[in-house]
Amino acid sequence: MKKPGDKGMTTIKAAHLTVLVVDDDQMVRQIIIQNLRTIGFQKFLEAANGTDAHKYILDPLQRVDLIICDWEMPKTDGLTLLRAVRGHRSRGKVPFIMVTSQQSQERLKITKAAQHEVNAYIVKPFRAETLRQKVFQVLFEAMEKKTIAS
Amino acid sequence: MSTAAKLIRDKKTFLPKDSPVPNRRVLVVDDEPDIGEGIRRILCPTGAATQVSSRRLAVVPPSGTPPPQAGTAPEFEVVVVQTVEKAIEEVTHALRENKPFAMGFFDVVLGGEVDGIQLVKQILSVDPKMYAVFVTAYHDRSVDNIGSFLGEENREKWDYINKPFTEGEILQKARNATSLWDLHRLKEWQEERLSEAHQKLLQHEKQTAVAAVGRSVAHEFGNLLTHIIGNAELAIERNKPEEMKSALEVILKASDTAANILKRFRSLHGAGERPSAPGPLDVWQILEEALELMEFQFRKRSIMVKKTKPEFVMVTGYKHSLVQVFVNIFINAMHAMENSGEIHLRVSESADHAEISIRDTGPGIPEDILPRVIEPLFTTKGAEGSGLGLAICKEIVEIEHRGKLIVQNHPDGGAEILIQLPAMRRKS
Repeated sequence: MKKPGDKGMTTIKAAHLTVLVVDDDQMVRQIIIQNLRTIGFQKFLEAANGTDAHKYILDPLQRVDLIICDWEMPKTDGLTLLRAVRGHRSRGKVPFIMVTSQQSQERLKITKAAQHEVNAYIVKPFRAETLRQKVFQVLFEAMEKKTIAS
Repeated sequence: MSTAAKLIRDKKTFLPKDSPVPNRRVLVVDDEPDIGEGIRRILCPTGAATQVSSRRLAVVPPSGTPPPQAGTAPEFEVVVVQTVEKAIEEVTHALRENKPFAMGFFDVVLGGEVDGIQLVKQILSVDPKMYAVFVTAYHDRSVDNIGSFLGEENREKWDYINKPFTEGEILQKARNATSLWDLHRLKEWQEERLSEAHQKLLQHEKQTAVAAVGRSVAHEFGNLLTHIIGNAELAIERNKPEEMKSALEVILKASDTAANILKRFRSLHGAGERPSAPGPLDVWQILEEALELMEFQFRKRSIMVKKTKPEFVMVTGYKHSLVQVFVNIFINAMHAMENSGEIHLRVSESADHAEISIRDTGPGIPEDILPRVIEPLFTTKGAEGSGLGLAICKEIVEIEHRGKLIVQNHPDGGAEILIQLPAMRRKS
């Protein structure tokens, strides 16, 4: 994966990165995963709620390089997971993309999420292009801050 | 002046500007001009003749009447007539001009075929709001006779005074009758405002339920459109016929689900556009519709719904209203349980009614507030609750459906709402 305009100097080895996809809708998880596969990602973790996702976060042997998480889910919601990730000793800087479907509460949500350093957000329904752009964006930003290995 | 009259007169300090204005218009009907004018002088001692129309007789202030004080408005506006025809004409004209009389003094013997009592009966058919005081020295018609002639429906519309009368008696009768007129108009006005407010509150409550369900709908639509767009894009990119077909199937399924959600949501939103007559309804089907609307919120809060073995029970009712009732009760149960809990649904049928029990596993309702939870405007949700949910549910169940809604604590814990609806028929 190449950063646009970088003439191939900075690359991301998508195939090496593990993406944790959290959504209570299995079909939505599949769409995200299939779309990321088309741009070279190969390793995915899936969780249907924040509680299950948190188990991956707590597992020290589990690699997690990017989290794409739905906001509204049963049990632990996206915001709770984001807080848990940001409060984690070693995973506090993992890029986090929040997915949400409720336009009317968007402003409040973005403000809240920003306080906990969400890296990007995507509003459902989204186009594949939007998803891919956001993923590129947060990974390159993270790379520049050296919070993930390139 | 009575306290009530004072209250109305000082209304600008108590009531909004559009509340009814006090009416001090008095009609005097007496075939003897001296008596008519005498009453006018009592009611209108400040030479207020200039205030009434030029068609009226001029007032000759009686000797000893203090000269009119500049700027003092008379207490009453008086119109004096001598004949039955003139009296009817004045009442009709006053109504047309939107300046009705509050009351009238009526001589019983008017010298023609029609007496004062018959005249009042005619006047009440033109202006049923007007009060009448009979001025009589006439004993052929007793007070009882007046009552039976004017009828029970007009029992409170008339009073009498015997000749010879004193100034004080005339003033007192005029003040009492005009105050009564004012009070009735004020009451009507307040009832209209109350009814308007009630309509607004009903609308607001419906919108609150719609908004709560709307958030779920937005979420579900977000997901379904993601299915549709995601599958369409992936199918185009891959460009393989077999994948196209499966993507199209997913798309169609998502579209069907979205159409169903929209239909249910519309039925909730359209609760005001109900059919004019109640129809036969399957209770479980109504409950399922309400549950489907709540599905996302229940899932999000880990609320399980447990149903007793479904018994097919039909009731007669309005579908949209009942869906709204169940959604309201589900929202209450959900709020009572915060995160995680169970909702138990049971439907049973007796000879004449269906009973629906909706029980939650929340903390129940404290005994001290239990009798009040059904009261309009009572809420435990602070600024977030309108306090109308259960009150409106009760109204829909009990007034619209002639059923019964009971709120109680279940012996095994949690709150239970029991709804009884007239059953339609039994079918096994």
